[in-house]
Amino acid sequence: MSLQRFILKRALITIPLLLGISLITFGMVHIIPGDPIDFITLFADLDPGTEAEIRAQYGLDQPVYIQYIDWVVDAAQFDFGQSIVTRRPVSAEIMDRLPFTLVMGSMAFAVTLITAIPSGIAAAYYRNTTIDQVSRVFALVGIALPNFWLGLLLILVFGSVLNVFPVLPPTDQGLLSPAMLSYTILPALAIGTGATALLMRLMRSSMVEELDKDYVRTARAKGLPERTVITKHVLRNSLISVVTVAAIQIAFIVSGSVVVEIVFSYPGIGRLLVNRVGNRDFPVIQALVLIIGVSVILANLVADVLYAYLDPRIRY
Amino acid sequence: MGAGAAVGLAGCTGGDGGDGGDGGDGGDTAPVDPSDVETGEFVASAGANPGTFDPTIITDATSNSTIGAFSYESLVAPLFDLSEFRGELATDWTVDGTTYTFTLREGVTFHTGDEMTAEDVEFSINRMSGTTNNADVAWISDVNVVDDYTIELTSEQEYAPYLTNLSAVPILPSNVDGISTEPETDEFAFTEESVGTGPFVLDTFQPEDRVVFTAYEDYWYDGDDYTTTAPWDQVTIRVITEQVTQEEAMANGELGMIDNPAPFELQQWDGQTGTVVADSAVGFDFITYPVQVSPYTNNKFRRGLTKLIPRADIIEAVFGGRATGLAGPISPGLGAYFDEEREQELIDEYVAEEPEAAETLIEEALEEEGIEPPFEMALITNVNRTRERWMEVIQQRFDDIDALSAELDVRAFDDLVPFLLDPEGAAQSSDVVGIGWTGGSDPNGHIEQLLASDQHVPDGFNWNLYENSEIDSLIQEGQTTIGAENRQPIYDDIQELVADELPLANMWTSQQIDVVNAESVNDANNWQPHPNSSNRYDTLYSPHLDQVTYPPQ
Repeated sequence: MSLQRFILKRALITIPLLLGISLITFGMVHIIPGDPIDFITLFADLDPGTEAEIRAQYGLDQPVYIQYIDWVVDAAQFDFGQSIVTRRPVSAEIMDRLPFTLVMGSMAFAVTLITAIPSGIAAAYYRNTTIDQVSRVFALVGIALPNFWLGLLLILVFGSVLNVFPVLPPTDQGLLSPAMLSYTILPALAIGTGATALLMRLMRSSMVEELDKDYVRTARAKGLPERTVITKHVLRNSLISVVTVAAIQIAFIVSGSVVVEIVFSYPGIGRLLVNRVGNRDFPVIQALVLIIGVSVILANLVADVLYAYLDPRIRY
Repeated sequence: MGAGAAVGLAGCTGGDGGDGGDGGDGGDTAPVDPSDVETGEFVASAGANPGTFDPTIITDATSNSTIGAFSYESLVAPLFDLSEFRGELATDWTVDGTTYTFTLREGVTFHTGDEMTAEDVEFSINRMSGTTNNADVAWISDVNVVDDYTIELTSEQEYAPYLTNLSAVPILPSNVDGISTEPETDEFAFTEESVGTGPFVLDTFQPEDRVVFTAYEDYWYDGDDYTTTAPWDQVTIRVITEQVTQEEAMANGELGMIDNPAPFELQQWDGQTGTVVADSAVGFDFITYPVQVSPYTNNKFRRGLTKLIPRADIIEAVFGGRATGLAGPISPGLGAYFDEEREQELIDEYVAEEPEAAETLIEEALEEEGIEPPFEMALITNVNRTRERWMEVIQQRFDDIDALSAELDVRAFDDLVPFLLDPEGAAQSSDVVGIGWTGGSDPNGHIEQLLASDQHVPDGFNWNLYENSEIDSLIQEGQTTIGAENRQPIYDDIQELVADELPLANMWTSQQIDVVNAESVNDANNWQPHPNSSNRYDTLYSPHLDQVTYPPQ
């Protein structure tokens, strides 16, 4: 099967998944007890005319299936209606924050890849040495530490004690300004540490497995330099499973941002989601759950494609 | 808005009452030459996102302190010690029986640039009518615009707390597109623009992040004692839900003031950036019983639960002694209405901790109600470290006895409020709710909305749907009796009735505590905590109330 056909097949499989997510996301408003209009008006005693007006404004006067179709069609055009809390378009609210989360997530992902792969290689190559033991301890600690706790620790150490980073994000600074990028390092570390630890262990075990294979022995027997054996042969084969898991780590980074953004008062979508859950701002919650769900599905799709690219056997 | 505006649920903001204090010496705020002031910026934190920007329908302390108090004003406002009312948008007023005539300040402009007139006052009163804050204007039977600067209000009976209630009515312009007398359906973007007369103009609201105000250049104050506009070019309220992050930001010098400092952790500021300033306040913490639901219908059960609560121990351990025990809703901040000796008698007689007697009462009540112990109950409160801590003590105390099985349920404030306001919510559950109430400067504000029969949710805040004709009559009598000396015995009676009936158990009133960064203001000891947490930032610039805090000079 060609790579293009494989991608097409995998993309088609995501369609029912996307529909499922949209159904669940839309349905959550209708599953919870109570009338959504009560949460919009904070149980105000409305006259029938005003109530009808508000129902019409939020499309609540239509049958549920019509509401769903309308919502999906609008969502496909990135139109999620109006926020109950701020009365601004939901898409504008999200677009204000999404770039921040993307930058933080990208930094976290970069931290993960930059630290996990070399240290995993080192741990495998020098297995059962001090380097391996240290990396094992780091991995265990990294996986065990809750990211919100790590975030608080980073604030305390680097913000208050060492005074290297500010505790609060700068205001009136562009997303890519030095001040903002510098501030984003700590939350990115808080999110990326767990993923780094996991990926490092995976890299190590994958490398160890490859290093013991016959082709490595053959390559060494042929007199290939050790650097070539590792980088050209072992690393490429070891990376197959690591790349797959790394893509899936995007989902963990997205979910981790929900908690870490609260700890750091970071103006991203995770914080938006938590606050709007508290305010029962359903249009915003629906949009964010949908976006997060879709991004996780897409991350999985990317992982599958990368896997198929790196290892053509799995296309068949 | 004045302190009367603060009547409402105290959510994420902390201490709501108390007496004495060790902080600001308020009122004496002019060590700086007002003609030569260096302006500055002030940054503070809010533990929650302001939920409402339309001042007419604000019901929570966070929204009021971050929006209402900065950009909107009322006809009158009480002094910080609540001893008297001063004119805010009114210059003076007269009362003739049931007619209240107000002379408006001339030359006051809204942030829109239009001049305020009596028509705007009429519009603002009508706009509040029918909202959740209806109680503040329900006493007004007629509004008569005499001329541009004179307005006459009429009530059907004499109404004593009229100034307190009017201090809760924000004055808005009547001629702005999108602002009508039906606030629920108004399209105006209050989150983007302020239209009040207050000393600060809303500049930016970045939800979940910050609210930024700038000084209003055309503010009406023209006295000589203080600067004629706020000495703060910009005030930023950073929304920081994580308390530890607030504290670390304060320690790092990034905040001028933190929201909701925990009274049991104040020692952390010894020798640090933050200066602890505390003073007396109005308001109280309380738990409500769902009196419509068995076994809470049984007075013995309510009394038994109340007598299990170790008030004195909690005041010492959680509040570090910075609180005063209460038997009823009248707190010491109300001055003439509170008699400490009498209060102690009520506590001893009705609500003092008596574990053995309490257990017997609970067992008897459950037997009378035909309920097999252990009775399962949840104690619900909102995210607030101090409140969570004392609710945890109560939950453990309840859970320790064989007749009860109690769990603690901590919810976000924004999640708890709809549960309370829903007539099918708290009223119909078998759960006990622990929360705070900011009662304002008149005793009526401490009682009416929580206990009157006509204040059942969603029209008021009587969420356990309590009804007692005797209390209703006394509330009515208190409203229509003029003079503190005449009203005091009425509220004494209510205080005793509440302690006896226990539809809710008043716990204590804690001091208003602010932690201020000494480097952010000219003199941190001159920072005067407002007795009402809803108005905590009034101390920045309220020249007509003789309270102005200057930036470092």
